[in-house]
Amino acid sequence: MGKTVAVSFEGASVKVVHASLKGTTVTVERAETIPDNEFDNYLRREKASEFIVTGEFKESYHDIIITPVVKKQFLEKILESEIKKVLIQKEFSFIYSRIGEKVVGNKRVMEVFYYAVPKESIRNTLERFYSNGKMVKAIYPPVFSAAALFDAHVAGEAHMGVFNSGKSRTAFFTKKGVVYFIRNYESYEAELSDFDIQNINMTITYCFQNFRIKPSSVFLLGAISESTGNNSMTSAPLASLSMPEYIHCKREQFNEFLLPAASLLTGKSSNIMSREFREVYFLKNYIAYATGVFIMLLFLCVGLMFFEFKHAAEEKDLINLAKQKGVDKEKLLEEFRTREEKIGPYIPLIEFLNKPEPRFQKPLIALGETDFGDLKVSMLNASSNSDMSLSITLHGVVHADNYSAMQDSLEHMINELKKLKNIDIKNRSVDLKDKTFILEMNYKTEE
Amino acid sequence: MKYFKYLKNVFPLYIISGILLGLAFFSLIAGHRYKNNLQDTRNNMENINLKEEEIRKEINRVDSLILHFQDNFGIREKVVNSEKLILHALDEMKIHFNSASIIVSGFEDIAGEKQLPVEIRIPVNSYLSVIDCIKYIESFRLPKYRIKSLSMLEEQLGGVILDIQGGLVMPAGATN
Repeated sequence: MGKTVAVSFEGASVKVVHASLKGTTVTVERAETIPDNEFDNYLRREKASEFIVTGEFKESYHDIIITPVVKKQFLEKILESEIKKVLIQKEFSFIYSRIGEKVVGNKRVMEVFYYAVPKESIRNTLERFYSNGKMVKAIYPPVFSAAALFDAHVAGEAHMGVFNSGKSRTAFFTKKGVVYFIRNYESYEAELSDFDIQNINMTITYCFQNFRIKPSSVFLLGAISESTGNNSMTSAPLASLSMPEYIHCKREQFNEFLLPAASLLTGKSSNIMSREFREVYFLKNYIAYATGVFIMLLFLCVGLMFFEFKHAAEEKDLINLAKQKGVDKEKLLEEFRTREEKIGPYIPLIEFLNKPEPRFQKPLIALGETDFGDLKVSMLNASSNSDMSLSITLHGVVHADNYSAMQDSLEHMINELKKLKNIDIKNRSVDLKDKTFILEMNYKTEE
Repeated sequence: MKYFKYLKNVFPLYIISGILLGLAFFSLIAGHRYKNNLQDTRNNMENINLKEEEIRKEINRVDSLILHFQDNFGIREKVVNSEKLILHALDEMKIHFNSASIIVSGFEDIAGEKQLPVEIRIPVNSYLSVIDCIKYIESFRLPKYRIKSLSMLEEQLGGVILDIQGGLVMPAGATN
């Protein structure tokens, strides 16, 4: 729930409402009326830093102008140039509301109601806040604050409202919550008088002539709503505006502090604050949020720093411990270097010993254990090859009676040799005449 | 900006908090790096302590290797004389094969090795004795006897001759 302070300048007094705002529900917590000349002191004392203001602009300009049907950004430019024609040589700030479109001479045009105030008037009001270190979120003209109460809960499409603001009295005409017309006049009586009725009727007539609409009711707002016993009749039903159910306060408080209370519900489009002050508000908010974020991050960094330095201190302790544990590394390295020097001459010998060489013993044992049957080996040659294999050649004689027996013996020997591991028979030849044979084989040595 | 005067009271805190945040942030980075460096140093020191054990093992292995060369191959000098070792082996071989004919030519340096070509012709009376001869020859480690070829031939008068062609080999780099 946001706490908000709304201020309304009404003649010689300033009305202040401290309220909490939740959605569209306003709960007035405190309301006070301060003389205008003491308001600066009040601002200095007040703890709240942000205000919503309903300003009292002695010089204001409002009218309905007809423009071509254009987009919003062009409409604002057109309005600005049109208003400049009225407020010659004056800087001004304005708000506007589209009334509607109509056809004039076969041309579609748009009716726009504008409300302009010299920037100086806005600056004078806002400077009172800024010079006391406060910020203003929005500044609304009184009519627009009051018109915020004419929403869905009020029956009828068009309404008229009358309220007091200091000595001046304001009558305004709205349709669907949009302000169409404003009449300001001075009234010397606190209660509703014939003069008021006359002004109300004039306004109704004017609006009917110009907009072809009559208000469904004329609502008396604020203190004037407590008026009783007037015999004159208005041309539309006259009533006091009931307190909306979303504003929580006493009825008397609502009547007295109507404008500041209503300003809490006023839409952004009614904010007449000049662009420069909007920028100031934005920048001040940005700086305030940024400072808050910086301070939060600062605390976070300090926390992390503490964490990092705590870890660093632990690491330092562990390093000291490791230093104490370790032996004299220089001495150990020196010892290792001495050994390296000693082993140096042996390195070629170690490499030589580790170099694989073809071994003859194993295949010779294998051949010796082979059953040669009727064959007799008369000569054995073996030589080493570059691929670590051995070439073995057997020369021999077959002791067989016939050729088939000779063939069988030879086959038997070959089969026996094939059983040996790593032996591959490359060639064989038999001389039938001499009954001799030659067998060439390859033995792959195991590394 | 002409409305700066409305902001001047919020600026000092904004600037000061910004500067302090910047300082704190850089200090945090510096602290983080310092801690990381300390961590690396500690890890390195622990690694060194772990490697100390490995270095000790390596020193012991080198010691035992040197002892092995000294005990098994009789190599005690810092510089090994290859020719001397080859000739020593040849003498041993001659003593072992007293009935064999051993033909020796001159030393050769081939592919970084010192070689002494040695041909051995041994009369053998059984296949078992052939295997014994080969076993003995192949038992040489330093120098090695590298067999190029061998052949068993029946002599006309009877009996078998084992003819082994090869040479005694040592690494040439080990020669004085």
